[in-house]
Amino acid sequence: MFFVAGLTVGIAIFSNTVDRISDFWNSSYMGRYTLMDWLHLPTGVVVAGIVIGAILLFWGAEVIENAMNGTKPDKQQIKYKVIGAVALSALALIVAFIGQPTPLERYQKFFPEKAQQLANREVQIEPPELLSYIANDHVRTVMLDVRDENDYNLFHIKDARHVSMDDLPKLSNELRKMPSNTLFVVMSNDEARATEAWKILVGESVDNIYILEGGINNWLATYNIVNEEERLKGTAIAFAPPEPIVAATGPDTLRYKFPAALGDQYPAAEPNPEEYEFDFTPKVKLKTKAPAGGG
Amino acid sequence: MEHLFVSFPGPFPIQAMYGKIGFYTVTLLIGFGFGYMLEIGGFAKSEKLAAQFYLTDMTVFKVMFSAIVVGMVLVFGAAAMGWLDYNRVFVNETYLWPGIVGGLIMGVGFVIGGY
Repeated sequence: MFFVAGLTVGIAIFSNTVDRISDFWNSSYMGRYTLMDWLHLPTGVVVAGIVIGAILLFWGAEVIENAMNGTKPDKQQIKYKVIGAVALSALALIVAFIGQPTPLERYQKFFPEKAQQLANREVQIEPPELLSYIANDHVRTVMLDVRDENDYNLFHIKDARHVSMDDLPKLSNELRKMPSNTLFVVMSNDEARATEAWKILVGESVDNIYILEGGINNWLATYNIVNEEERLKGTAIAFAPPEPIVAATGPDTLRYKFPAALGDQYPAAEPNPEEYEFDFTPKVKLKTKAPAGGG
Repeated sequence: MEHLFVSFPGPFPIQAMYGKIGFYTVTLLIGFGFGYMLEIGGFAKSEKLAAQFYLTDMTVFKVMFSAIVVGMVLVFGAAAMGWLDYNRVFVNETYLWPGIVGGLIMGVGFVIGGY
């Protein structure tokens, strides 16, 4: 009865005072933080280390308990404890040996239907479809630009976020938490690097992720149009349009020459949706999330 | 009928597979089983909880840490075998200092309650 009363009083006090402590209550937020993130060690090493540490701590706990109570260890039970410890250690070492699947291995094993969609070009969306979603207030569009920083600085679509390929697994933690009406679009100069990034993010269980068809080169081919009136007025001079490079270049390279590294200051970085007709084959199918469990 | 069979990898969408009644049944069974195990282990006795603090009875430590370690090995073992998508397993988000202070308050309450 006293416990129930204490519980009730505690809940009442907390609920009435939580506003005053909300700053502290919401402080030191670290997100989905695991031992692997803290120790910067592979999962298998952490698992094996924790198991070995736990066995040592259990032995220490027994010693302390016996010392405090003035008793001796029960020799009959020691055999079962040793068997349990050996079995658990063996399991942990097997887990460490097998290792956790890499994002690409997870993509191949967990998402075979996605590979089929990729081959059927169901996840490559045209620039007009991307522009339509940028202009759509009901869908949050997150653009991930996985090109080299040099190319990104030369030109990128407005609000596109530069991400290196190495940071994708860590970024996926943040992307998975976003609302279900979030559309992710990865882009590179063509599609090669974006496709690799797409596979990694699919393997990291990020939903609603697509590839910009033809990449930035295709985007520029579609929207790198300078209004002639602006050009005659002279207002376009400060933003001389990128010029296509005629000579053949390597795969997934930027095929435009830029007068300056202006990033998203070029008109093509933010085309006015009202000036273009949205003529495309829609491919985006937003997937809603299952409610999270546990906790 | 196909909803009765799971499709790997987990975690499994219980409600999508078995409906609301099935979801509540599973959660009730798990909760009941967890409570039953704690009860027969003596964790309902406040003296046992307080004895952990005084180091005369380390059962709480041994049981809780055993559960953590066994669960950890099984979760990551399943993930390594491709049976579980660890990215979709719920992990409580960390608020470091509130967690430490809250744990201390709860621990003091446990010890006082068990005097």
